Amino acid sequence: MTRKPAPAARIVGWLSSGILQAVLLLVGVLWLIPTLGLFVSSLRTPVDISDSGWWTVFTHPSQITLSDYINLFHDQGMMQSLVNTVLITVPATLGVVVLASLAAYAFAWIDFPGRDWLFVAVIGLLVVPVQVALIPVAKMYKYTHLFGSITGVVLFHIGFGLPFAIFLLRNFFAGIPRELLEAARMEGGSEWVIFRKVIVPLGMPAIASLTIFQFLWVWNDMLVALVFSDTNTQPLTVELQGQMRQFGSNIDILAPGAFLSLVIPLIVFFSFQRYFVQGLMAGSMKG
Amino acid sequence: MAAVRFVDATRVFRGSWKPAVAGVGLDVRDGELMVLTGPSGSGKTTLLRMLAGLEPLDRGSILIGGQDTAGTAPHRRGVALLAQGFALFPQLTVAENIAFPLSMRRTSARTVAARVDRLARLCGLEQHLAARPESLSAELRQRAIMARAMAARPGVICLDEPMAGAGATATLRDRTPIATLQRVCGTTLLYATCSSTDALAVADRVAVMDRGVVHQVGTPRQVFEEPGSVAVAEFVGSPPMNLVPALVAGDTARVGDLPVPVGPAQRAALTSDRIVVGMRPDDLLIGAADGPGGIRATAVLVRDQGREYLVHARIEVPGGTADLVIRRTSGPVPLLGESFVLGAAVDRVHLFDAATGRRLP
Repeated sequence: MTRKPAPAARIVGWLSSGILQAVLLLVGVLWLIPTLGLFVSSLRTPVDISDSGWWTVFTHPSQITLSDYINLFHDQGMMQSLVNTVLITVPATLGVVVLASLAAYAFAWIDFPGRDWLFVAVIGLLVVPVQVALIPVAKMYKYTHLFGSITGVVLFHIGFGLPFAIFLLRNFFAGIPRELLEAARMEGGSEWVIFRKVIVPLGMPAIASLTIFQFLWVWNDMLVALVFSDTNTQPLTVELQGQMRQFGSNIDILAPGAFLSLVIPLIVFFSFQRYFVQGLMAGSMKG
Repeated sequence: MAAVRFVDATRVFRGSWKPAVAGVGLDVRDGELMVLTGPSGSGKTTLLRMLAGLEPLDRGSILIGGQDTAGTAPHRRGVALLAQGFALFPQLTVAENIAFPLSMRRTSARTVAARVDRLARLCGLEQHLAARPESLSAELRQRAIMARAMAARPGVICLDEPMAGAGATATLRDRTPIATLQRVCGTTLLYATCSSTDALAVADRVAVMDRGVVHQVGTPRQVFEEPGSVAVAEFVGSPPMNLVPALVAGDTARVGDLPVPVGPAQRAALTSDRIVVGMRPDDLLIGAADGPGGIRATAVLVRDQGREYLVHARIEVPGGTADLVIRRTSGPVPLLGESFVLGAAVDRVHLFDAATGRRLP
């Protein structure tokens, strides 16, 4: 009897065949064209942009200029909104990751009365859409003077990020072998030490992917920011939308601004992807 | 260093009507290497976890160094338990593994480093501190296991199946570094394994468990030469003892035509006329004098084991047939399907009560 290769091996063999790679490459290039167009446009003057297509840059490389970026960095509104985006995204991401990993550890490994009911409640919150909370929270923010503040936007993001984050991390932490935690407890490790030295290192793949998700959601968010921020605290997404409406033709700000808002999440993604892969490798806990 | 005493230790898991550990009484002497052995599910792991404080007792008590452990937190018992499959953490280096028990307590980095150094020297691991466990040979891995077990200076070390999945060879089992290092450090060691071969190879004394009960405690020789019950007899030794049902008539029982004498003390201990006759594969002789006095048998399987042959022989017993395993180290070997007569060294035959499973005195 001849042995058939395993399905996975067959898929790998198929993927490494030249035709498929060529197709994938083509799809990838097609998908990248708008991004490339945006990038090239951001390197051309508004006059050039309205006169000719961005692809003419390949025949006339002299069109390339950094003037759009220089303009962008001198644009008060854009710079302020970039700072706002960072001020919103970083605390909203860190807050969710820190709170959720602590909560997830408790849900997964600490016995306390009502734990399962509380977790069910957290799961229930997963299906609450953001929209239903907008008006009540807006009212609440009005009384607490959080309306229009960065803190308000951050708190909203943390609140709505936590259910999924807790759910994701709890399920991952629960998969960590009991023997590892018991070994730590047996040696007198406090819950805090166990969390820091066992759970966090082994949970790194999940924590890293959660960080990426949460960062992207908050960075790209427009709805929440549109409702809760004001002109001084609005992030890049809202500012870009405003630029688009005001004149329609200020492409010299829009193109570099949009490109900037696209590049930073990519940098975050690739820098965390390293941990992500590393964590997957080191986390194999077979004895 | 501490002696351990289990008194009527019992554990019933929630949702189970049968105790996982049932009334175990066991004395482990200070500095002894006690092996708990028995088939999987016999309660070895649960017993170790009870000692470590990870599993509560439903009845009875456990004393460490004469102190009752009731209400003592796991980390205050001076017990190091290395769980099956997690004796070494794969994501940590050897040095980090050894340091792990210390890093859980408030220990200064310098103290930890010094302690790791000392243990590495004691266990011969200096060259391998930066390696990960999976890159170590089976021998080095066991050295690392012992170093990690000793790190927090426990009074009692519990190892649960430390050789499982390590690819330990037969020679390594015979001179395992675990036993050697245990003798050097002198710490009381409880070692659980489901391999009776390993148990006999490393133990000072062996406790044979089956279904939550300790059947026999003794030196490897005692357990092997005088198994206290059918459960012990069929577990200890490889290949295991042949166990054949027989009926007692007068002062003999018959296996085939082989008369097995049953002494007066043994008859007095019997609860019925049914007994189990146990014969080690080495004590069966092929080609004994023909005629009455032997067991008529047919070879159903002949296995060439290299230095010996194992012959599986089918015989008639009351109510059916039974297969015996015979070890043959020299002389001619029967062919498959060949009939022959088996003799047995009757003075080396073991007798058990069929109803209770206990050894007859």
